[in-house]
Amino acid sequence: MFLQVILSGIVVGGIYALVALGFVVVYRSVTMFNFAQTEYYTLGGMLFATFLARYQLPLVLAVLLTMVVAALVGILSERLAFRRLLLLGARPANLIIVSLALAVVLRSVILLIWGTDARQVPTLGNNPIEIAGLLVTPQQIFILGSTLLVVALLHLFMHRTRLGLALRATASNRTMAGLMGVPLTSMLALSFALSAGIGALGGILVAPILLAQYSMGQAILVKAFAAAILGGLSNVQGVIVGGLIIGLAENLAGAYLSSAYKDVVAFAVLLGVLALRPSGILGGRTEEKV
Amino acid sequence: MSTKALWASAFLAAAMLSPAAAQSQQPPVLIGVVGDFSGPVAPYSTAALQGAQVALDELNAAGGINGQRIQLRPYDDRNDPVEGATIAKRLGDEVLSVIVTSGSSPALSMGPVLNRAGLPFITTLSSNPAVTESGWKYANRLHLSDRHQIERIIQHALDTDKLTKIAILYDTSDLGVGGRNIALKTLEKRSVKPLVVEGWKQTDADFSSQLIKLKSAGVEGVIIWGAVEGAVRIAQQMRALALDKVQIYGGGGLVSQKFIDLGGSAVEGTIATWAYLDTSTPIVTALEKTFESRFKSKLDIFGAQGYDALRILAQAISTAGTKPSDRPKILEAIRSMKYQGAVGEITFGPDGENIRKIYIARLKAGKFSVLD
Amino acid sequence: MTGEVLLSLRGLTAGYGPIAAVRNVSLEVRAGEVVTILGANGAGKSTTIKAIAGVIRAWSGEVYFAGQRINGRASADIAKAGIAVVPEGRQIFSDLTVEENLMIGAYRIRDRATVPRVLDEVFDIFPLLRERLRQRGGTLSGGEQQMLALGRALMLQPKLLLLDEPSMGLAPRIVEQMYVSLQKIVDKGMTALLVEQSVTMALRICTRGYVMVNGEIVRAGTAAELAETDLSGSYFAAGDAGAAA
Ligand SMILES: Nc1ncnc2c1ncn2[C@@H]1O[C@H](COP(=O)(O)OP(=O)(O)O)[C@@H](O)[C@H]1O
Ligand SMILES: [Mg+2]
Repeated sequence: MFLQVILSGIVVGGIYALVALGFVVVYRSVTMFNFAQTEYYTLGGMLFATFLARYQLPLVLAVLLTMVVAALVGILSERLAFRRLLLLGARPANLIIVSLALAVVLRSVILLIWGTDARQVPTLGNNPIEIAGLLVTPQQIFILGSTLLVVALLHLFMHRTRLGLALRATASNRTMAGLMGVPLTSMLALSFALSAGIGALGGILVAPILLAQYSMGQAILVKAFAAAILGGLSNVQGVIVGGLIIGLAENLAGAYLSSAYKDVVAFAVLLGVLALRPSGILGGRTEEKV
Repeated sequence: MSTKALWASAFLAAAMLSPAAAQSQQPPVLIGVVGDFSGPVAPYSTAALQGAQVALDELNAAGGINGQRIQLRPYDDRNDPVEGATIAKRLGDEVLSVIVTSGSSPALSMGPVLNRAGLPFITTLSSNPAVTESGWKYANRLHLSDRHQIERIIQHALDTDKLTKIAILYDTSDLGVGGRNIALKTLEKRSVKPLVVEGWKQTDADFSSQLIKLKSAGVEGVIIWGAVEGAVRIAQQMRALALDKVQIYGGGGLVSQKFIDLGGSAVEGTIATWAYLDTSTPIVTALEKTFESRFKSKLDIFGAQGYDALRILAQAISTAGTKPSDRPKILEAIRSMKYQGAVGEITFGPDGENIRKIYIARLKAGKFSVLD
Repeated sequence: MTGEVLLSLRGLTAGYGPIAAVRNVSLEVRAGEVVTILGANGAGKSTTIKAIAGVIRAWSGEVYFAGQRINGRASADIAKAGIAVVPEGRQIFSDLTVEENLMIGAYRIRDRATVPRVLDEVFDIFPLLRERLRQRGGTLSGGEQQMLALGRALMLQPKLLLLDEPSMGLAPRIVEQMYVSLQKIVDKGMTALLVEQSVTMALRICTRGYVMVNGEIVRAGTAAELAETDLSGSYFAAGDAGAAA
């Protein structure tokens, strides 16, 4: 039973991490929290359900198309909602309010298109395989594999490509990056495209087991937020650890105490970690060196 | 949905403009029909109103109530409890008696107001036990209460399926918590101790910690009481933990196309109570014919309950009288009648709860059918 | 000895909030020249550099570069046009490695095959950077960071270098080395606009210069002319790097 609880904690934590990663990608480059992030996750679930179940597209095509559309929505949100404010150097409070408003707008559009009904999405396989006494479904393997793959690809992108380098330079010193010829506007668009694409992938991965529904983003918002904070906000590895900790904490609490304590324990862990390490689990590293 | 809403409003307009009152010498007997005619549960309320409309025409064609015509007055509460309470305050002055086709939350906000006004009323949609358990003398229910459904499903699990290792999963809404409490009491009376009792929030998506408990406890059957989406997620995730041999039991809410479509193969075999409409009886066959040719939609249990509700009120009023001061006698008449209607043979208990057979259904090959 | 006009400011006024930090500044830099702007702390030198590079917007006046008006453009476009900046305080990307700092300079190079060659040219001038490639920028010493800032700017293969107080905060010995490297760059034909408080160093390398006081140009002249003027007394604060050197 213990291992089974750990496994499901890891799977859930992986999803939290993936959505939190979207938060972090934007936070790193513009130091703002985009609360509309979880709506890209919802959008991912809904689009994927539509492409797969309604238009019968092949799996890979449906995944790619969903991520591309979500990325475009990300670019559009940056262009329409944030760019002016970001270029003017608006205060964080204003950006937060705009991102909350954007979340409401996106949710309304999703409601308009898809309504309140939940949608069923075919899974890659929901019949468990037994591995060393542990029950694992193909869908769970798919979730973990995709999460790892995305983290690895993101890391490669950030560290091995010219665009990734430009993004990191912009995150490190926006003015200086501009002086080096890195166009800020493109970097903003790129950050939002990446974060929305990654968020949508989260939605794609969970839709088959949790159903796609307009409210799925709201349901995960606080957990993903906590994972991002726990991870130190600007650190990819940190966010993975943050997501896993939240996922494991709530599953262990649910299994050994009561499911009524799932959320409470997850947040208690968040508060505890922040009390000991105010900049997150791995977030302290950068600060110490400066 | 939107076409349904359109239908409902067109229907409302027609009902309001009904010239019946003007033609008759005597003032008509006014019956209020409160319901959600433009909100989330509009399809159910509308069906009940339409059923009542069919009954109305039959009754008036047969001479009304001792020569007095009956007239229906619809009120739209949009499934909003505040709106419901506001409407309820006016009803004592405007109508003799009321049919409440609303969902549980407006029904519960109207209940005390109607009761204080001494207005006999019949609800046709709410399953919340509070409708008949809040001490509202004038309340009557013509639908299945959660209490009876849960007692029935537990009886089926213990006696017919002979299971003893039972778990209860409930969502933390009023409905879910109410269901859990009834289930716990019912099991206690049968001296069965549930092995797992766990809740979930409606926004919850991951049920693994609850389900792992089911697994390690070796549960044979699980009673799931809550919204359809949650029940579907549970069923799907049970499968992922190889819990597909565990029998799922639920309430009437699960007997819906939505549950079947969302759940797919994961919900096969689900057993649930069913507000079943037996379409083979002559009374239903006739009603179905009129209803479907007139409204171009299929007769369901709610349409039938709306039909029966008006007929019950009319029968009670005809023995008690049509003056506001006759209302206590109308209530008495409802409680003492034995009525043969579309939904079967019905009597009302002293608490206003209708006593009738509750069917058990089983989902097999994507279709619910009566098991017992 | 000098070519056509590369950079020209005409009546540039710019500032922060309601306050104009530079007023009506006009100056010219011709291809092949090293022009200096001398002035005390707070005179408006950095503001002038920032306005040219597009970090802040000019309120009025014009900036022409290679015949094109560039004020109002984004700094990335100005960089693309051929102006590279070594900013005040160096502004190294501290969490990026030395190599990455340099590669950012190469961001706009279309023909990626030339990048190693450009990199080699930078290493020729600053051999130390080659040894520090994997080190994070933030961990370098002040002098090393200044080399990196210069090397990074050279990666842009600019037509014009804007240097804002490259000697600031460095030990005299390091400043000496810096200027030797700078001389090498200039000898290869680089055009530069050099802002300094360190008069000695600046006048040693420049061909011409301007003196800025309270946001305005008060004097212009050749290096020799400026050297003869007494600049230290009224214009410069005590303890500046030039006086110390
Ligand atoms: N970011 C800023 N905001 C407001 N005022 C500034 C800013 N930067 C510089 N100033 C002011 O503008 C004037 C010129 O500054 P600056 O151009 O940095 O001078 P210098 O580089 O010659 O030392 C000074 O009075 C300074 O206080
Ligand atoms: Mg300065």
